[in-house]
Amino acid sequence: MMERRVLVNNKRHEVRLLKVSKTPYLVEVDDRSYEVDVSNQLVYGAPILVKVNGKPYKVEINKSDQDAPFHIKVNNRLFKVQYESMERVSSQITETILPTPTKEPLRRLVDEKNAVVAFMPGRVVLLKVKPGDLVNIGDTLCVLESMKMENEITAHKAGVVQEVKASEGVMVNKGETLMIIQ
Amino acid sequence: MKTMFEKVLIANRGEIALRIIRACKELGIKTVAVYSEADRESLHVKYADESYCIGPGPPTQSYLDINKIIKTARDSSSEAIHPGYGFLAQIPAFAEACQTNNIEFIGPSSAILKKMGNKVTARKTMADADVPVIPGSMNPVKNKDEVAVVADEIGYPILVKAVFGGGGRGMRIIKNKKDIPQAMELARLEAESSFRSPEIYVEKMLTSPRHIEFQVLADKKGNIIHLGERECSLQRKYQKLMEETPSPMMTEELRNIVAEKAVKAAEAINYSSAGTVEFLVDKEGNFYFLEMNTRLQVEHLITEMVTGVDIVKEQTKIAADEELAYKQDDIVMRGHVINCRINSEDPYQDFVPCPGTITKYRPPGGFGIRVDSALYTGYTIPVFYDSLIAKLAAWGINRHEAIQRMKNALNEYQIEGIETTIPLHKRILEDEFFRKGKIHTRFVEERIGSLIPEEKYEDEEVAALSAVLAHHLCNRQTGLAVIPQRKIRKVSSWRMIRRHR
Repeated sequence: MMERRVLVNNKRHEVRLLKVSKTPYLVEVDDRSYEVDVSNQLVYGAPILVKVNGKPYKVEINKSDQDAPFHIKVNNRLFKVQYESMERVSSQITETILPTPTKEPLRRLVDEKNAVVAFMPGRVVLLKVKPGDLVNIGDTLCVLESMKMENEITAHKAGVVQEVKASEGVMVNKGETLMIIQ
Repeated sequence: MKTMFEKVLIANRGEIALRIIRACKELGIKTVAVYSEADRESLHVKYADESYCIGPGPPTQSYLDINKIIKTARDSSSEAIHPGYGFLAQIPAFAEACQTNNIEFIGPSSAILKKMGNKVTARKTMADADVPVIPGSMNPVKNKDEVAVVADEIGYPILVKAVFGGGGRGMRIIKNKKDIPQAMELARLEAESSFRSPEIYVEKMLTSPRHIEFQVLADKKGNIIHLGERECSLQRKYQKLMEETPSPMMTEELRNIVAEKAVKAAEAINYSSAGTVEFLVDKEGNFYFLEMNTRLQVEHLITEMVTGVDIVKEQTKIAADEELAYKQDDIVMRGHVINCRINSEDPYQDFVPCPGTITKYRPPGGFGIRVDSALYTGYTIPVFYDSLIAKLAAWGINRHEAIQRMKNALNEYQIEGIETTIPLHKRILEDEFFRKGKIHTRFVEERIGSLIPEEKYEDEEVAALSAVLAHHLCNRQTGLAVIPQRKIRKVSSWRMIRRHR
């Protein structure tokens, strides 16, 4: 089985090729599995038809590069793609053990890690928790202001606030860790 | 009589600062830009004849600092200040400070700003002038009993709104009597924190109304004309997304009736400068006065494109005591214009703000296309200001042609490095109800809103899996091919298939 980490528009996805011996291929993206069919005209630089769980997508790959970012067009939307690390080969899983493809619509998975990160750049206008506080999923942790809009940052998991890195009034970048919930 | 100004200070930034600078240049006026430390690389700084830094990025320390702006105007010998929209455009204290310092404020008097800024006074003034207002209280309401009395009279649902409010803040919907105390409390708190006054009043809530506004121009000699309507029903959270003129629901007859009310409204307050009278229209086609915007509006460009009147130039000439160059009969609306407000927000992620650096910028073009924007490749959009980064307007001989042009323009428009609301506009243009002109203020929420997120993540995941799959398949099935005049090298089967076609 082949597993790769791919950055799509700077968002990380883990892609595992579970079955690629014949079509339909079985591919897992962030723990969701899909049946994938590729039209037989596989070429770089021209649109190809990729069927994911039966739904067709027009995909255009200009080139593939191991080290530098390249672009992929999906239904006329351009994505910047970059491989994150070299491929890892796992011997533990073989092609005989296959999960059933997920039937529900695709959606992004919630970040399972402990870090609470800023989803946009902005100014921390309000901190609602301090280290030691117990929080539940969905609790407001702090308020970020960007472009005259206030956005609440909520807890993505339940736990205890271990460390608060942000402070009121400071500017934070997108992706910056604001606090840690254990 | 004054002669035309020699120098005007523009107390604003971004696309509207450029818009005003261009108008001034055409009038032969020298321009003075002010900018914050976050706007050093902004185009308005480059395009103006002179520019002055007035403080740090946060607006309260720069673009909202009345003293600094007045001082800069005096130091640079500017005779007038154009406030644009937002920031100080409707702050009576600023207009007053201009007057005190013998600087012409390009806009109405501070007394008018005050009168129309108080929504209850505005309603009363309009009702007295025989302009229909939305049923509701004609005074601020003090307690829940007063709210209940008005509600019983006009019927639920009702809205409690901030007397000094705007933009949907300090506003609460009340569906029945038992909800009054809590909703009232929340509205008061929000009004207090946003507008420094807890005063609220009551209005009947119209179900899925249209928002239609009339542009007026009034000089200081008492001449008032209107430039037709703008339909601004496509909104999200009370913020306009797309505007068009004429309104798809408008007839010549209805336009004349409502425009007469709009002119009457301006007359009633002895208005001068460019202004907009906003109406809500219910399902039966009744027009109700909503509020008057006493400034140049974001969407003024579509009116310019159907009438040919340069609103900013007219506004400036009015401020210099010139008489209106147009009579009502001179105004003809020709064709149809649609405007898309392009914001640096991610429509796939609940519209989170996306300030950042533009890595590639390529605006659309062609017949009938107008782009009002201050973007360029390499420009960094600061976090401190509004997310509006471009206005894209398309003119067509009719609505259908305008829509087709807009679709092309949106497809051509390349803004890379940040997310924008362009995909949302594309989606709206595809909607069958939009194409029929069946729109209202809840249209985007009801027909467009929830469709977006899924697809983006789907596309993103498809991009990820395609990359890995393609790479794997091409590495697995490589063969050798001879390419003339080059070294023998491996060619993937992907490439080979292309050759065989």
